[in-house]
Amino acid sequence: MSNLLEIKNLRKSYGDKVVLQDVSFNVPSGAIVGFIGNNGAGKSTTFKAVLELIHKESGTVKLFGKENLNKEVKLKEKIGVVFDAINLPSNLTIKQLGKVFVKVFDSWDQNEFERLVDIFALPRNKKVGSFSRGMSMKISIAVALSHNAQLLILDEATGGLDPSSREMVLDELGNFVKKDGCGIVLSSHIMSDIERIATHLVIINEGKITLNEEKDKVFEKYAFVDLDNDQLTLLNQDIIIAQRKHGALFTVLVSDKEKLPSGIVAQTITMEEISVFLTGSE
Amino acid sequence: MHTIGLVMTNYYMIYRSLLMYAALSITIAGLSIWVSDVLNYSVPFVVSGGGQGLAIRFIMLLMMFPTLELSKIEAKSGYDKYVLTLPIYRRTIVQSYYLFYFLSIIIGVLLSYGSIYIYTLLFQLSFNSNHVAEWIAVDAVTLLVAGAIIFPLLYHFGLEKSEGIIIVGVLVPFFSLSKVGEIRNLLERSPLSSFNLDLSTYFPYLLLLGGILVFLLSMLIALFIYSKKEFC
Repeated sequence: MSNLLEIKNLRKSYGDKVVLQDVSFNVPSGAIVGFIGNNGAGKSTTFKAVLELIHKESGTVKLFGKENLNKEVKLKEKIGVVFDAINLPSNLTIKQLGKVFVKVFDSWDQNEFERLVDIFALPRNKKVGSFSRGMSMKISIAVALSHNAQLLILDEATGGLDPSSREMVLDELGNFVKKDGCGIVLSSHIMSDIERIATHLVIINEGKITLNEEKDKVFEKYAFVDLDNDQLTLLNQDIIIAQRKHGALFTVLVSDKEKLPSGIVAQTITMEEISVFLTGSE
Repeated sequence: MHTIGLVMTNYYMIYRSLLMYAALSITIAGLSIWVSDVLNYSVPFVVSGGGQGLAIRFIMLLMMFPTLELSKIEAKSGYDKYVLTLPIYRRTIVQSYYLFYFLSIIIGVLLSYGSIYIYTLLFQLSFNSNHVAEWIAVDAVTLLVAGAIIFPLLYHFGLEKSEGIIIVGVLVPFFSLSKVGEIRNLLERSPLSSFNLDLSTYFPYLLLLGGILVFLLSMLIALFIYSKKEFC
């Protein structure tokens, strides 16, 4: 499986504050990478560094095997972007957007755009600036899916959507990734969305990646265990992902429950639990 | 093609304001010429040319407002960052801004000339094309210089501070170029006088050429600033 996006040892700081530390993960073709983290954890900064809206301090970012996106702008034809707070021109209607984007994207597919606008039931003659947050997200997603992109970078794109719209959007994303050579990196606070469509999980906390794993593997092999200090010393250090202390006990996230010493009971994990644990663990 | 797309976006963003300001400026220009004719007033310290000069200034200035509002609209919606995710070079974004601003000035020039011509016919006033061309050229150059100041500052300090930058950018050239007669005097003095230029004909064009050169130089500076800028 080739990688659409490769991030290696990405580092960024603002003044003294380090906001990204050695961030590394890939988005393989055919994958939907769920990018999870608290507000301010570094998700949007990672995306901005990938899109070269900000300069990275060190590390490499390769899109479709190439670096320097600002010099290889043609690559952006293959990237669909939906950002929470980075939006389409507010005074334009959907009709006008179509007329503009056909000039901006060589690969613009007006029929696909029209189809998505219909599916999402968006008004064609209203200014997009007057749209609700959910409608804004839907029109941004429609644009991202209408220029034959291969990689979607979606930052909180399902936020503000009502349940039926979310279903529609997730279905469209699912269909998109089934196409040959396509992939998605999706940040979201809505764990049910990530659990439903992601194939890979990347969790970031305070600018550091705390988990980077295939989702199925996480649910198959990972587990929480509650241990006292003595039991903790018996544990194979290689399988410890993170631990948290609760009084005399430790809750430990392990990467392979098969390697637990006998007598230690593994607890099943949920998406919500693993997210909360890894975005706030010591 | 990409530049056309960006210019179209800019146009769609402000075309309603553009039409509104055009109507308003033509109306005010008409009033200015009419009042000037009735009262026979002149305002030499503000603008040369009395009512016609004032009318031109109203049109040129008011036609600029919607274009300068663009930056505020973009910053508010987040489009200033979104545009960077499109398959467009940063230099194309800057060029499209300058082009759009330049086109707005051209619209102002055409509207000014046309309005003055029609109003002088309506009010049965004399129409001196050389004078009108010179007044328009002065205001067009003023706005070119204003743009030349505003855009690099906007790119450097960010669109959030656009209001202050626009005020400074417009006021500085308007005050300095109100003494445009001194530029003319310079051209009439030695050593430039040896070129024997017919200033009544060529002065507006020389002025415009100077303004365009300043504008282009500013674009190069803006390109440099914008290419290094971070959009957090």
